Amino acid sequence: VSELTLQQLLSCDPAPYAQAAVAWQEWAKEIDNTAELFIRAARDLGDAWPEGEGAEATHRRAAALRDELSNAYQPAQRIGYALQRLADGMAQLRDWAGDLVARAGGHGLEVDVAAGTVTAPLDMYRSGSPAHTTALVNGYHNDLTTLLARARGLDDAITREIVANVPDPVLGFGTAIPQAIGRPQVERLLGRSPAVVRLWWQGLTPTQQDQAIHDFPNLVGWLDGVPATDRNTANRLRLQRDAADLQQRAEEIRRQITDLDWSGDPPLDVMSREQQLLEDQAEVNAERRRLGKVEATLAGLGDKGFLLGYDPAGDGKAVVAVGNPDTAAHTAVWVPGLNTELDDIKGNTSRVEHIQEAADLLTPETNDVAAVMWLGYDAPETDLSVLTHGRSEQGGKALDSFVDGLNVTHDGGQQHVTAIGHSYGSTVVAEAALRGNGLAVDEIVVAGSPGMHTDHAADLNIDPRHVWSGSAPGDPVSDPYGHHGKYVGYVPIAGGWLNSAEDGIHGISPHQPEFGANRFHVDATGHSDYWKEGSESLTNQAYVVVGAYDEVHLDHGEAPSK
Amino acid sequence: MTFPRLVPWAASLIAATTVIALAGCSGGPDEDSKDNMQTAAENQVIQQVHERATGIAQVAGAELKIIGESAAPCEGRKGELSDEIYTVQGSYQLPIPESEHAATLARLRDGWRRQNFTISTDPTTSPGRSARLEAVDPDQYHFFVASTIPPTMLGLRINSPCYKSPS
Repeated sequence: VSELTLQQLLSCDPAPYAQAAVAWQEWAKEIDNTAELFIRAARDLGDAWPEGEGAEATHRRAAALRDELSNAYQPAQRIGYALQRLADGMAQLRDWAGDLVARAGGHGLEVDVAAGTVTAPLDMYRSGSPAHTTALVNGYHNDLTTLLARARGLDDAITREIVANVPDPVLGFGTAIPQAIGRPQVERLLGRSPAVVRLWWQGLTPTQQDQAIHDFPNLVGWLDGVPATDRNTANRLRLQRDAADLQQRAEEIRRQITDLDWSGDPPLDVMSREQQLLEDQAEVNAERRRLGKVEATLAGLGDKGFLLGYDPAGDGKAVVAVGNPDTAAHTAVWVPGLNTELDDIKGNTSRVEHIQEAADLLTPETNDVAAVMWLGYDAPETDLSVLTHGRSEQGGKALDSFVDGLNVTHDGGQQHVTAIGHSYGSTVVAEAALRGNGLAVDEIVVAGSPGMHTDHAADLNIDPRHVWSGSAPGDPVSDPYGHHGKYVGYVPIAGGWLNSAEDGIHGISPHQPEFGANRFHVDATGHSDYWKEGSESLTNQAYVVVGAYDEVHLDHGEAPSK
Repeated sequence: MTFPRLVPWAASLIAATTVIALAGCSGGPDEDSKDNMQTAAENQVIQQVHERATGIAQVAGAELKIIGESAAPCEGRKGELSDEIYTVQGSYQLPIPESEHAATLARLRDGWRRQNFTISTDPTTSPGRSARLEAVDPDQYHFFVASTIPPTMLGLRINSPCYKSPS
């Protein structure tokens, strides 16, 4: 039981506890990272060295090491948090106690900090009301006693927590295998806030995290609130398994084609079966080509590539980061538009690569900028889907969650987030910004935007000076009325109808002065060159991404001061 | 039956997309420009970019810190990527004190003028901004040099023109 005295409380210096807290938390992080590395490195040990006494002994030792390492993470983290609570709590109680002692002194009372008593000089009883003086003495004594009791309670609670978490002198952190994570546990997290997901994930041991990633990569890979490195592992695993499945299917189809028995006469059934198999083969090959594009894109990015989302169903979805957004000081999230599919991953990732490189060049530290190609929604096709708000509303909700996830998984320190919408992607950004508490970004950038579902930048739940819009001459989406009606004229037969259709149906384009956003200068033409390497358009956006507003060349608007 | 809610800009988006598709907004590495394009191996162009960066570092009197030198496909106006046509980008940093940024850029600019570069952003004509210089050399290599934020270094980016890979 704590025997903390008032004197000790008043002279308490919480700084060493705070330093120790940071050290334990850093150590916990190191354990987590090391456990991940160890798990990854030892995973294939069984395949590489499957049999024999030496192999068995090695596997046992590796498993025990993995489990103890994994089990060390949470206790270290808990001790870190406990020490932080002690430092914060003691600092607050010490200040309150000091304040009480000073106020008691102001009333003429004497506080013996060594004995923890409060007394009044005899003169106070004689010159004033004795009852009032007694009440004053008792009041301060009670307050100080209560404070001291709280300080002792905190001291006891933290001591118990630390004792409970320090390793056993004989068994260390133990090698007990933590309970396996089941699919329902992960499924329950779908749709929950990234902050909740983050807490859940932090509460798992590295072994449990690894098990969840390997058993349910399709779920973990899309969970906003799971750190980028873990999402990357899950999604790459899914990709790898999909590639292996497709290869197996391709081989199976090839075998079935080879095994077809053509001895019958007439072999109509066989011909029909062969036709079916050839169609299946074409489908599988197309899927393999598509998947190959994802693999090639990631290979091209090397260590800078993080696959934060991957789903081949339908048109396909993918979220690819260039640079780690959890450690970057500046992160840009780029949202593509109309007709974007998984097939287009290379070109779209190339654009965010340009953004990352251009912005990273402007900061003294390398790799403190990350840029994300966020195809986390089903982009509309050139059909009825583009006529509705449906896709942008769905996309906006998912984008909002993704950005919230970036905020909760960031390692700390400065984080400056920019959402960039291209074409229809700007309506996805708009939907995320217009709903609820808005989109948790510092900057909104749109390029080639057809409109943002509002006529005023001020409606986007962000200071309009942080809304930036670019429109290139000859961009038929953002600037159909510019001096480029010529495109319409080129269209045979429908040209006249298109002219009429365009008349009177435009909402306000965000690059128009009355929208209230800053229009950054674009030196490109058409709808697709906003991120061309070496262009001023790209440089201007890079300056926005790193928050160097004065450097942005504006056609109109007012850049924020900082 | 419920009809989808029509958004005012959507028809124009469809129209524009149709326009792009039908009118065939050609550009970038189209067939005509491909024919006029120089052929070179990627490693040769990377070397060209690197040599230019080394020359700039010498003029600046600073160490050349390489951030990256890599080739990427050239992109056409419709966003299409070519498998045969590529460009090379080199990104570098030059650790130079802020007090010397303006003088360094002026020195570079003067040298480039003598070599018939086209100066697109002149540091002396951009008041209110940090030091920045952009230029294109006679071989169509694009140069961008700017103070970092905060200005502890100069960032240098060099972009080559598009080249055709040797078949």
